Amino acid sequence: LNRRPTPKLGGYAGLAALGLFGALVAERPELVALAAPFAVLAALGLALARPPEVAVELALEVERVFEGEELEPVLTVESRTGVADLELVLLLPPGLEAADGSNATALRLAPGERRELPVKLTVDRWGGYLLGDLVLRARDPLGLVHWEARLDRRRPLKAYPRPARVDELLQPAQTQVFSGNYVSRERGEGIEFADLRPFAPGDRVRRVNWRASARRGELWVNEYHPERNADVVVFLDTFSEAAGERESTLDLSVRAASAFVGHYLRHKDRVGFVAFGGRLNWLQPRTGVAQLYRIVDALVDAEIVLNYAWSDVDVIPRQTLPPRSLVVALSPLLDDRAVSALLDLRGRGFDLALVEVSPHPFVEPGQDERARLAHRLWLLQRDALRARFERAGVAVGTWDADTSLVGALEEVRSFRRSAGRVHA
Amino acid sequence: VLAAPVVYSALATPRAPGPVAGLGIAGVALLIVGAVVGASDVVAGGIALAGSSYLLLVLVGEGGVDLRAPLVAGALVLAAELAYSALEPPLAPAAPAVRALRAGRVAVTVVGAFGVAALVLFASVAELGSPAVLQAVGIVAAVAALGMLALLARRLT
Repeated sequence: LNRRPTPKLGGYAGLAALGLFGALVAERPELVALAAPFAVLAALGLALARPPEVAVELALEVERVFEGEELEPVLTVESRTGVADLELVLLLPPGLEAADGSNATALRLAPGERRELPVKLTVDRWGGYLLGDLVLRARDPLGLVHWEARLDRRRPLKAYPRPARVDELLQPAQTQVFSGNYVSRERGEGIEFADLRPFAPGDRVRRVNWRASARRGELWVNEYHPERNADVVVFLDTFSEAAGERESTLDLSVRAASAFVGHYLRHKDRVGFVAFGGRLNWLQPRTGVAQLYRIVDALVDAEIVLNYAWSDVDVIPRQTLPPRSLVVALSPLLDDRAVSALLDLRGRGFDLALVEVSPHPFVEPGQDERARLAHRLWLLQRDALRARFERAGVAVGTWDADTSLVGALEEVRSFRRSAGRVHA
Repeated sequence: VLAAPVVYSALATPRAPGPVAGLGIAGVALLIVGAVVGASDVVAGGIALAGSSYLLLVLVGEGGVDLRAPLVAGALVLAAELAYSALEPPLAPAAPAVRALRAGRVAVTVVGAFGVAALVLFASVAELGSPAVLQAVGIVAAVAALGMLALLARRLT
């Protein structure tokens, strides 16, 4: 603890000195009577000032929470010497807020007393946090001396994004070889009827369609569509964002990505992740719960890193974008590098679906005529950009905080159906 | 709180009420300005000016010792305690027990200040020795008090 005399100590010493010398000069005992209390208080304060011994620990029961949830870390304060007046502040990083409005407390500790102080916090935003920066201030009994310290009791806390509501997934155009939940276009072992064909040596008897065989006078067998899984890559544009006071396009993108990843992994698909921006982050497609945690951890670390270097899709490792995979991109379409990379992916034959996380709600049209005109031109440019994607065969669904992601996905699904990219 | 000794000085003085009141009002104004802008030196200056107005009262007075000096000392200490509390806003909202403790501390300080001032005044009017001896004791006490403060402050910092 760093000892620091308060301004009061200097003030009292000065008043005492002034009063005592004034009394000597004026030869008036009344002035001694005025000065003596200040002198006695200053002397007593200094004589009684003993550095307190305070130990503070932070216990954090959970290391992972969801955005919007509450958590209650417990501060344990103990003092061997006792403290007359102790103030304790738990510094909160942006994104965490005190649920009851206060992250600080003042208390008195008797010698040897141990106190547990729960602090109720609300997680306002997803992200990785280090919680446990503490400021501690103790006062002597007369308030003339302070002891201050900044303690580092930081514990990691991961706040996962609250997944956006998604009812139905985007169907991939092509499936992979492993069994899953999508009816494949291929023919093979399955339960979904595909077609009839003449019997061939090696066909199993159970596949013979007896009614068709009786009608045609020769053996015909049923063909089926097998159920297969798909490879899905969630592509997150982290080049730039449009942000308001409480939310940004990146926040929305991360929530949507979290929802997609969870849904596709539950459908036994292999899901990969690419955060494409100032800093590249990727995870190869895999299945299972472990992959869900891997991707969500990567999402929590997603941030906008300012970078002027040109990046294209060649920097993404090949294994991260397997052939025949469905790429679901989430982008505010604000950076040319992201736009170019997405069009490049489409040009390389990937099945690309784009959810445009709209920056429009974050951009005010402006006050004067010129600013309003610029805003209209910007909106037209964005319309043209969307049209460019659609001409390239990329379905674009627009989503913002005021609309439902379900609606944006329906927009994408409708385009893909009309463009014939996905069979019904 | 600081206005009370100032009003007392201005009303009790038989001569020159204007300068006494002027000094006192300047002291109160300085204290308010210091507390508002957060300047501790200005606060001390305000209390010193208010004390000076009382000094003027006793200097222009009849010549006897003013036995109300301990009350003035208590008021000055109370004003100083409140002003310095305002200068250092708390980091945290205090629990009722801590608030009561702080209020109790101020009360004990004010009562103690009154007691110390009364003791000093009693020692001066009781004529425990010749005036020369008393003056010498006063000088030694003043120097010793300042020396002790300086020593303690040095050890502290």
